[in-house]
Amino acid sequence: MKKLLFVVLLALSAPIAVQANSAGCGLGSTLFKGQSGLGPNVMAATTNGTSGNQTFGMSTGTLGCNAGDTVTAAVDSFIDSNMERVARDMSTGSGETMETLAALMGIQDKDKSQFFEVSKQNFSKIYSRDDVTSSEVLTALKLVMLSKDDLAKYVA
Amino acid sequence: MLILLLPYNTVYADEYVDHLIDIANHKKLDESRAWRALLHYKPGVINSWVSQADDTKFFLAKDGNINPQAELHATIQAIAESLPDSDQHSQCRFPARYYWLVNALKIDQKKILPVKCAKLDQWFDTIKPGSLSLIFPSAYVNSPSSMFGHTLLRVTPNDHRANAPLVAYALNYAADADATDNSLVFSIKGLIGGYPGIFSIVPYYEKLKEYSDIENRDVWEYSLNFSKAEVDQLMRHAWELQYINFDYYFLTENCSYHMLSLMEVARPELDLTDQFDVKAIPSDTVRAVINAGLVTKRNYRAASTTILTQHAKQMSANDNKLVIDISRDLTTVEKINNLDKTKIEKARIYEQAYDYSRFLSTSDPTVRDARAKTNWELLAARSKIETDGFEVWLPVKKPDVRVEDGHRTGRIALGLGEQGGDSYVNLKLRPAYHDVVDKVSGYSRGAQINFLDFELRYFNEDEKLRLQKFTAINVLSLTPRDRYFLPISWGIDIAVERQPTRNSVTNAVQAVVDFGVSKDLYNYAVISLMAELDMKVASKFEKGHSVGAGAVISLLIQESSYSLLSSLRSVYFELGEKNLHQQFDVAYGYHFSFNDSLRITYIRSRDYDIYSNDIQLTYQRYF
Repeated sequence: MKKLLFVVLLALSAPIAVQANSAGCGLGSTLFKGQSGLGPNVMAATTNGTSGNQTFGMSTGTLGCNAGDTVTAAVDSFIDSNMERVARDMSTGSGETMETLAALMGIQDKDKSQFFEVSKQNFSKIYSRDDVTSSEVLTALKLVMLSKDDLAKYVA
Repeated sequence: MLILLLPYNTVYADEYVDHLIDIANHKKLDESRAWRALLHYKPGVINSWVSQADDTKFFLAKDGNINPQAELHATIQAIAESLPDSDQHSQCRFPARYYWLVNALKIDQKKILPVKCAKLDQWFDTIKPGSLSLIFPSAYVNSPSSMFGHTLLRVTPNDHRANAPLVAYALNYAADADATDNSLVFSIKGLIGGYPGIFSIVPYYEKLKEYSDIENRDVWEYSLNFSKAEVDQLMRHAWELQYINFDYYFLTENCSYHMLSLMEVARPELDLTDQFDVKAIPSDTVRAVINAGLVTKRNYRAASTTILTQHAKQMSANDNKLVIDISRDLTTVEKINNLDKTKIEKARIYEQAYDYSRFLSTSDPTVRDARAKTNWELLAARSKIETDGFEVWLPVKKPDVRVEDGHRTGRIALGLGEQGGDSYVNLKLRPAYHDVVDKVSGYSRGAQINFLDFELRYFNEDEKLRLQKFTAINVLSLTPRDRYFLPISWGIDIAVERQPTRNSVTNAVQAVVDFGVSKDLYNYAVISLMAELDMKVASKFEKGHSVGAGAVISLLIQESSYSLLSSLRSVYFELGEKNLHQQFDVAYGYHFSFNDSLRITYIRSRDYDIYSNDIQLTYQRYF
């Protein structure tokens, strides 16, 4: 009944958008472990927004890191915040997340399909367990890329 | 000699500032669209102009919020202050105003030196703003209130990241709601401006995760034709707005409204926000942006649930069953791998099972942990399949009708009818939003929100115009269940309605609540069975009230050119004034354009052992 009442009253909640829990910085996240506070996000599912007391502002939230201006930091941060999506797309060797990763790493168009193919073939090495961490994924990905002549040059 | 120089410089600077203020007055800059956009001034009730910013930090003049000219003078003086470089200097706090004034007044930057703004510069350098898109996450299945939608701006960088839209930035206006407020407080505070609203920026992929994954909403992206210079000015203004409070009002000064106010700063000639004095519904703001000629391209991003449903249709019933079995641990990835199936079939099963598992996980974190091992196995198995260049899935299908092409949100209806043998004229006016017998194109199927719907009726015989029904809020969600999704169908109606009592007629306040299930019939109709609770209050009822429970069965058909809703209900009023209420009704809408419909309604009801019929032919216009 409480849920119904809740659901009833949110009919009055027109386009409310409440600030989201923004991405963390650094390489702390683990595959398949909740990141963005799913509790508040369930409320989001019905209130047309998310709730959470997060830092509002302009300078925080740029790539999730304050030091988000180097390419490496951008790649780290992106993988960290998108562990599942990257895994999903990497397993198929395609998808917007992999395209984004390639763009962030500065991979040229001619090397992109090799990048997708090689990472897909080595998926089980890169995402080695169901609780692999983002730093492990990054290290493994770089190792795999180093083993291919055309891709080695993109690894800093 | 130094002593001689210092006062000389200050005096000269003061004269120059006075000179600039004179020019500003002469050019009437305080009355310009640009100034009004930058300060968010709108005509006031008591004062000529009032700023929508509800924060003293936003103003340099004491009465800056109601005095555009004073604020302009104070700004000119503040940017001219010869203070050391600091992010707190007015040039750095209000860079959009500063930039605009430099151009409008042709400020000599040797007389008023530009200040170095380290933080602002670093921010601009990180983002490298290049282009803007308006982003519109549309409705969430089984949540009619989300039909209102939301809008935000995406800022795409001007470097290699332009090819990676996920790492662009989402500029958003949102209410800083107290997470501990309960839903009633939430709704009331939201309506009356009880929450502060703040502008902020986050990586775009975070917003997409929220909307298309967690909230399962389709997202429409509209590329806008703002020039680099306009985008830069908008970003400078966004910087001015950080931590500044604008009281958030659900219906008017909401997320969508403020995206428009930002656009007016980028291009002051735009006249967008004035169209939304009374209500700012996101889809209407999207229409306004399109009508202003700002949109160059559209992109559609399907929600996770949309994709799951489309993909399910590309798989056999047996393969779909295997997907459900994996999610229930009734089979394993290894077993499926050993089945005699094509590579494409297996790839589909693995991908669909993974996507379905993620969908289940987003609403329940404990599910996520339990599914981790299987999810990982699914991806590993998928990575081993070589599809030899064949596409695993057909491309995602876009909706036939774009959101902005759906009927407009206001509706007026004029009808002629006969009730119990007496003929009448009926007038209905509804400011928002959509019912299931309106043309469904561009709207969510089975979803309905009627807000502040007034119905007046004039019977020819007694020549009196009466309130027939005033609906405060009416929401309905008839979402069919299938093997993947098991939503509850539900409805609520809070209204004042003219109705019979045992001995008379009255205007009763009523609340009706329905919940139940719906099923799809041959992809053509939806049949629903719901339990109903009906509560009415009126002094003319015995004991002042009448409360009952019952059931309703309904059939809904929503085709592009016509819609039909028919229901049969039975409600036993046992508390207060007793009554057996039974009703059969049919509403058929014929949509001869996007914004014109003809509707026929027939209601046969039984109350207090008296049967009556009501039949009406209505013309509906959407505006």
